[in-house]
Amino acid sequence: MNRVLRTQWAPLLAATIVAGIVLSLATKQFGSSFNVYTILQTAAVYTVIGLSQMMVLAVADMSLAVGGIASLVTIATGNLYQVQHWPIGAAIAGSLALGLACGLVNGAIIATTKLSGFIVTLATGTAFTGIAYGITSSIPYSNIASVLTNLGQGRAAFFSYLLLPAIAMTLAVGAGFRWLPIGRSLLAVGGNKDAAVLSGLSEKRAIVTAHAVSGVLAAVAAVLYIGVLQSATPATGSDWLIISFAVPIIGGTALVGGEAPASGCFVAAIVLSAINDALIVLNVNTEAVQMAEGLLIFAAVIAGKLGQSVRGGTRRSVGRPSTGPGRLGQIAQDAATPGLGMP
Amino acid sequence: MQQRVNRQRWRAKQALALAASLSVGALCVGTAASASTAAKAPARARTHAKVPKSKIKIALIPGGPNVYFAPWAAAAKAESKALGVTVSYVVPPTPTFDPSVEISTVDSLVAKGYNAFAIFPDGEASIIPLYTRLKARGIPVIDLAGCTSDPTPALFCFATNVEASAKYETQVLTKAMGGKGKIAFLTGLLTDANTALREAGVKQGVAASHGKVKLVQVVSNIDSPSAAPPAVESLLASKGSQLTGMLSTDYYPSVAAASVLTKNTQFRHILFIGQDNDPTVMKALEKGYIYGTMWQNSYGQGVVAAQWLYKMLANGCTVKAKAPFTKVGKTSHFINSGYFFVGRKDAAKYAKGMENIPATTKQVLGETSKFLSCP
Repeated sequence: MNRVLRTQWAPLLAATIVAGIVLSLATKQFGSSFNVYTILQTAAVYTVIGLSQMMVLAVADMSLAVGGIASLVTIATGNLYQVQHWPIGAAIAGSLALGLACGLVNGAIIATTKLSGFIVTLATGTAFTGIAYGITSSIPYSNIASVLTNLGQGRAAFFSYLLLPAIAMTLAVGAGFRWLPIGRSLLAVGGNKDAAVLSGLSEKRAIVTAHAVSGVLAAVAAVLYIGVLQSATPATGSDWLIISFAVPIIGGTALVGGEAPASGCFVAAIVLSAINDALIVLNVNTEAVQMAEGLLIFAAVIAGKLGQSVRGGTRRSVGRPSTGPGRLGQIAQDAATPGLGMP
Repeated sequence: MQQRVNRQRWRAKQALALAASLSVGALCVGTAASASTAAKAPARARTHAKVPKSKIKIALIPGGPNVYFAPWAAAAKAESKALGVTVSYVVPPTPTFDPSVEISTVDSLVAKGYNAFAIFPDGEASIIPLYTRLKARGIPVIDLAGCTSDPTPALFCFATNVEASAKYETQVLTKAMGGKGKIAFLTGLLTDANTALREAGVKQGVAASHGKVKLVQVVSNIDSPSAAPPAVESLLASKGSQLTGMLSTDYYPSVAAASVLTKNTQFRHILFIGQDNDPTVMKALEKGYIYGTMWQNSYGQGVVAAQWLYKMLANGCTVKAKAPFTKVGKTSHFINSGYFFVGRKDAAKYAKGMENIPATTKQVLGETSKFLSCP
């Protein structure tokens, strides 16, 4: 409980719950089963989009290709199912493999050329989107398997079925960072590259892994969106950029790497989705949503900075040559020792 | 040491002087160029020299990759074959409809010898310098599917009258609701000039009910695959029980609304009219989950643009200064490319085809002599 209260997103979650209760009392529709479902359905997809970006932020990099990969994967799923007549399971597996391949390409280019992830993913993301539009001539695939539409639109009372894959992804990513050596090595490389390398970790491996997993998560988000929209359009991902950064940053992911709370992504996604919903329920101009997202990102960054100062500069101690390893230095050592990080 | 400092100062002065003279020079050249362009800029009814068929290259330029423009590709192919000249559909690589990308795309095509353009303007004002350059080179350019603001070098604008279409859509919805009730309106980017026209059209339609129909909410800025579904669901969660009708003038809100109404029976009391022909919309219409959709004449836009640009180049036709244009929004040289309502009984007939209104296309082509003066 104490750990939850100390997280960066705890005050935000508390404020959202209080605001939600007030709104539910003020307008009975806000607390209705369908409205809660709407918030959770959107939050589920936002979570996976956010996790995709968080993987890369964990190694102090960034990906502008999350939307591009989603665009390509979306039309690949549509094409494999509708045109190539693959069974839906095989089409989804093929699409996830494509997402993995796109992520591997990004990671390999960045790791071998030492170019900034910003530049590389800007280029590849644009290329992925271009390929998607080129293949389809902008025309969406409309024959969507019922399993996807049932997943995207299905619910049990307020519980959106999309929460199942979203929670599964959150738990998997969280567990990976916490218990798998490769996950801990990503945080170590992101937190202090020099210390991590001196501890025997491979920076290249970390970058390639982060982008590869990011690609798979972008692909998962794309597949989920096909179910929501009941259509596989190359325009998917075109406006994911802000969400992909807003979710992890608000959720407490450090822009400088080394800190990637998956649970924070889930909470931030619910907060953003609830704000989107509340503004429409309250009949506020839709432009206010963007303004609210911007202010939240700003607040999250400031809160993170203040939190660092309050915690006594733990991260600063590992960012410079120091006598002790610090928390992240310890993570690096754990990650470099096979088996030590395992439960 | 002092000598070195003096030398550096001297070089700095030289650099400043050079920069100043280059700036003045650039200003002079720029001013002269504008004056020259203005002087040479032909009037709307300028006579074009006839161009041999082998050298006619017409380009249809959409704003970017978007499903709405897809029928232009088919129209370009058909007209290229019918007219025996090059008619190309070239998509600027900008999903965000960036004017600078559209401008560089057109410039590249001019360099490749294209000599007539029908363009969806990415920005009603920002594209005008490009048009001015094209006009100065004697290259005819028309607005297609969207209009630039007056004064514009575009010869005319051939597009859906979005204001009239939205008004008509509202009136059809009002009639279906029995003349009264509460409605909500889903639309696109507020920065898009067409959005303001569409909203104006809806408000006119509502006003025509003399207070019996109330527009309870406008949800704008949601014309994207990820923005539309949650916005439509939030609207239905909050206002679904009190709404009698709902209408959309944009693509993705229509898809999202059709999708939500297909899966959620509790909102089927709401009569919904969408826009365009996405398969999700057409399927929902065939099954009676939505009331209808508004059809546009995308294919006909491509056909008329290609044929009239061809006449200008091959026959030396010019646009008549006193042609029967209408004034819509910020342009006074508007020609309506057509729109109509598709209801459930016609859904199967239109479900598979591209957006096309052959009767309107035939009518506009039949009135060519009213708009073009040919030697």
